[in-house]
Amino acid sequence: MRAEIVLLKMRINMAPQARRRVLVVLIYGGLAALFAGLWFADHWRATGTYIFWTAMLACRPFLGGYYRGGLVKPFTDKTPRQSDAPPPLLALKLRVYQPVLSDDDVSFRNDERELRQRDQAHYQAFQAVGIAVVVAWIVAYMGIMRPAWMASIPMTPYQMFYGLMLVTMLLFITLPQCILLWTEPDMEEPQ
Amino acid sequence: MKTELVLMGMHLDVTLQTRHRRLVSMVYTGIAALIAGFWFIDRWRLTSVILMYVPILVNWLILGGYYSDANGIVKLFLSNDVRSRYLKNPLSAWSRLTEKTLPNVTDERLFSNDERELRRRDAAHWISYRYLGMGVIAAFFVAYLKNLLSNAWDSLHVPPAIFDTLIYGLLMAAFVLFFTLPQSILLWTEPDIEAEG
Repeated sequence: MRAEIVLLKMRINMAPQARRRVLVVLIYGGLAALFAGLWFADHWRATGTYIFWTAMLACRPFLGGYYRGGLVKPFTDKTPRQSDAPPPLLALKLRVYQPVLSDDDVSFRNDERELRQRDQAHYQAFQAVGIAVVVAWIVAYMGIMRPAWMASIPMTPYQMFYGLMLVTMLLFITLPQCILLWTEPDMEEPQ
Repeated sequence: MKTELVLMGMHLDVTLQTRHRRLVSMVYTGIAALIAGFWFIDRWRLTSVILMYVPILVNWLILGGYYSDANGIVKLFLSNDVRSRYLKNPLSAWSRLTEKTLPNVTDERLFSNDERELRRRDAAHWISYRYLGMGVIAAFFVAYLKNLLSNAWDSLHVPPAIFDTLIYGLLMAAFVLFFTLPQSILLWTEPDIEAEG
């Protein structure tokens, strides 16, 4: 795991566990606020994907895992291919951390302990995403059967289902990284 | 991982990898056939309720992992947590209930996962996570298309029920994967087990 985030020229030390936990709370708090706000905009009809893209954006400079940037090293344990193309404009504007390939690939390759933690985080995240799938399936089933008591709920079964699918997607994209950031104890200060 | 499967009174030797793989293939073929069959019966309306219990039954009788450790080949994934809670106070009501439902809890060798088994369990979940996620993304994508292009589908005379059925089928597949995939990966990849004694 990396110990600092570089954003808007600022180097933020993320070695203490408390800071990483604050980051996780901020990310989920922000996503929840966006989720609630977009419901009032258009009931997530067209704006639903904004939540998805925001989660992806959070992964890129902050969380990592499924991206090469961010605090958690890439889960795939592969060094990204070197590209001659210039970095994306957004990354340049935000001045996010873009690790450069080193001789030992230490910025990208996970050691034995990190691979073990990655697998364990996915074991835990699997339960949460799986339970969300079960709930979404039950709601979808209710949508097909349309029991009379559902008429009293101010949302249609489809809206409920769509919201649940968005939450499930969010968890799928972010949860393993957040588990890692939350549970990793204080790291040594970056030099 | 157990070396013998007791199924309807028959003792089946499951030490060989080829047998594990045959078992996994049979389980998924059976579930796929059931899903297809239920579609023809009532378009997954009432039969879905039956399907909810099928992966649980499959785990209980054959795969193990996410259900009782009585029959399934793979040890209970949560066995170490259950045992450590049991050992904290073996006389508590929870522990006595555990002893009744999971009789092997008192035997560490039979019940607990060792370090290698824990590592393999976590690695299997890392692989399964991505497949489960693919199911979720596919279901979401169909739901999004239905939402976004509702007017276009109307003009093309595509009934919305098609999307609902597709989403429902994808979620059903994700549900089955959630309950069975990690165990199946473990069974598929575990090499031949040496028989004890």
